[in-house]
Amino acid sequence: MEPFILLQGVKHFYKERLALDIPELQIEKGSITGLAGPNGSGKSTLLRILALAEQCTSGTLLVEGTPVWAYAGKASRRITMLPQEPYLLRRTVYDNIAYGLRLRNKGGDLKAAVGEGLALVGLDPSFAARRWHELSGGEAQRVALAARLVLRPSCLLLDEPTASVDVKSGLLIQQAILHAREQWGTTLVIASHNRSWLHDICDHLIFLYNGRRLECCLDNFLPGPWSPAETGLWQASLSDGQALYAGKPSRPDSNGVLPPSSLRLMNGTLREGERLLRCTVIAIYIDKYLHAPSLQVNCGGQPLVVSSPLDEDELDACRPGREVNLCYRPENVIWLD
Amino acid sequence: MDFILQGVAQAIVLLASGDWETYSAVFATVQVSGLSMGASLLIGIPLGYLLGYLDFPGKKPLRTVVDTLLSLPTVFIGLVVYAFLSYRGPFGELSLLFTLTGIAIGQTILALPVVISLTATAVESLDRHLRLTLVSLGASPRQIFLTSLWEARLGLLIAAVTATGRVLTEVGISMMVGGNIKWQTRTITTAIALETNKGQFATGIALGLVLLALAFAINVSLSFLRRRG
Amino acid sequence: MKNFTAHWKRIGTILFFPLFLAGNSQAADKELMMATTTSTDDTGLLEYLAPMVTKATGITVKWVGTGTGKALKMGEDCNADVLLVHAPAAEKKFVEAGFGINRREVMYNDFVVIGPNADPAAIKGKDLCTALKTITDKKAAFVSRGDDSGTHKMELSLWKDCALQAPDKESWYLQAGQGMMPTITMAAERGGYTLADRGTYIKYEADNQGKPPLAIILEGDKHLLNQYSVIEVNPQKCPNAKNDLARQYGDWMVGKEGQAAIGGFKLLGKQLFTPNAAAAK
Repeated sequence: MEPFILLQGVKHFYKERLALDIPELQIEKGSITGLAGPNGSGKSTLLRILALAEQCTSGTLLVEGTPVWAYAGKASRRITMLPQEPYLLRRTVYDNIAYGLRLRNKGGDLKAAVGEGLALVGLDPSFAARRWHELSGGEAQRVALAARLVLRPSCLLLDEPTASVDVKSGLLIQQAILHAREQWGTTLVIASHNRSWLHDICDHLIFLYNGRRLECCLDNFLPGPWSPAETGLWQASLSDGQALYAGKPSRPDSNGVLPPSSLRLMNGTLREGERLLRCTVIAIYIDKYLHAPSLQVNCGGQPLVVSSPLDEDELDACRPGREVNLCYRPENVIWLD
Repeated sequence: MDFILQGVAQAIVLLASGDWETYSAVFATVQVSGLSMGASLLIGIPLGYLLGYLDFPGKKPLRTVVDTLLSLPTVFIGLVVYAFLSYRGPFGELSLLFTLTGIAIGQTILALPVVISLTATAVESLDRHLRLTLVSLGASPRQIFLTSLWEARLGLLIAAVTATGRVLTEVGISMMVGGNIKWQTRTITTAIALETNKGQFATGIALGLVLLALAFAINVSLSFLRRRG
Repeated sequence: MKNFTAHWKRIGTILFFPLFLAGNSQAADKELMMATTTSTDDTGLLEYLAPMVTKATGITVKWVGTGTGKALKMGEDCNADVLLVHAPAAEKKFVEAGFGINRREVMYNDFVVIGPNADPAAIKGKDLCTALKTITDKKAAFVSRGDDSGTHKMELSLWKDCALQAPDKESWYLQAGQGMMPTITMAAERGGYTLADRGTYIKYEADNQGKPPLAIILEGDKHLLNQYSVIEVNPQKCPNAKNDLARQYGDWMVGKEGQAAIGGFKLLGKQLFTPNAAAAK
């Protein structure tokens, strides 16, 4: 299938600092793409570039195969974005929701469209007459989302849509977003710290770190600091006195990742070059992408995910609360910088 | 003390009886400040918007220059405009010296830095999320411009009122460029200067009262709009 | 330069006059406050006469130069002891109203009608009344002082003397409401005529290095003579007025010495004022 949006060789700089470096990224039509990564990893920058609200320093962006530039053209009318801190115009809720429709000179029944938008985000029609300052944080966020939904965008980009709202608003926002996809086949790109939600709804997850896309994932994120250990290895201490071993980091405060697939349950012996970790099982669940049971464990305060296949006996030994021994190879730790 | 009270009493009689000479100066003032405010808002708001909205090298020094021009003395503007409009000056053929248009040109120069600087400040103090929101909703640069101005409407209003206050009360430009010609370019302020010279306090006080009333009306409407804003 | 000093002296007088009143009563005893017209002040005549007055009488003269209207008003408001002004009709009214006493004619200077060298209305060589009539008929630009000054009053009386309606709202008749020099400048800008006192015109001519855009078109007509008088502020109306000093000053001005001094005063080499006191002693 032809991707709806295709990024090629995109680099973006803020002054001298490289904020984003994406050699290639495809967003398929009608898909839900999740963006994960710590603060400052480039999620918002990527969203703004996808939303045509910022022109990347170099590289091309194609929408349905046609190169497009920021701020201009028909494409920017089909792609819309809900920023992390949306701004409500100093007007009524009605005028806020109708703003985008008016820009597009959409005739027809504005009033009905606004009413529909309010209903989508679970707000009473009486909200239309309220002024911008008469809304709670959650209501304001929902009004901002309604202003995007009424445009029936081909692609909706959301930057932390539920980060700063109450539980009820968060649920209503999640429902409204999924409703848009079901009804109109809207392509969704969502940046969020809410990993379990992303995990639940996304077709693809993209992990960003320092502006780069990670090959694997951000599970098993290992923060520093690292100190030299025996035989050329480096170690990071865990709270229960154990230590994690890894190869030589570029800096003592580098961050590493241990891919879930490189951890296995120890049955019997430790193989040549492997290290041991004693952990407590937190949960056992079915991994959406692996379609296999996976483990979530805690090793001296460090959460880890294990996704190597488990047999029946092993599953039995891994009931939550049990202690298990995991083995890994220090050279499998991937450095993020 | 007596003659001051007498002056006030006479002033009220003058105003109430519709003294044509007094009202001629009032009309000239309204006409010329309307002209100069229209021109300075038309030129100053877009320039102020660009100054506040865009980031470009040399922006800070430029703002400093504009802010310095805020305190441009009216007599200096009067002198320069006079020199340019004089029959020996580069624009002498236009015959604008000693006309209301000539005064309006000078007052526009007086008001422009005020409008530009305060507009830039208003635009700068707009929420930094506004632009992203508008872009993400598909607004064109022109639509961003118009919506941003509307969002900054209170700041623009303050700019307009402040500039009007300066224009309404200045005497240097009106006197030098306008020449204080009776029935033609005599404005409230130049008339007051003249009446005081002639020892005619009543007319001076009457005109001063009108000026006060104008300033008061503008400020009241401003605070009303601010409350509504 | 002389004019410059005169200005500073005047400013100083205005600024420090209250101090003199408050702090230095001894000096104030022999100090005379005079309200006069800009023409006597700007030409430097008063500056020139002041040391002679002091030498002869011991009086220090302080003055404010302004329009005749305001000068008379200052007398009315008891802000001056003596007046030196040039608007005979208004002066007589002033005296009749009891504000002033002992009005004595001192000297005259004369006015000139000036206009563009090209003389667009072709009034050169005509008598004054014909000239004014021609200006009216041709709607030639004419700039009036319009500031209620002595010169302005003089101009208004000229229209009246010539049995013409003084113009007011005509578009060719510009009432400047300003001093003599700005009025002359305005006439130059507009290519119009104006009535000026000779002293200011001599200065204007000198300022323009002898090539002024405006030249004297009419002079010497009997209507154009300008009589100056000295008037004492009535001490019965104004108890604070120093009438003895005012009288002394007036006596000196109309006396032999004063009259000679006035006749000897020259501006840029030209005599400006002709002494004509009734009976020089």
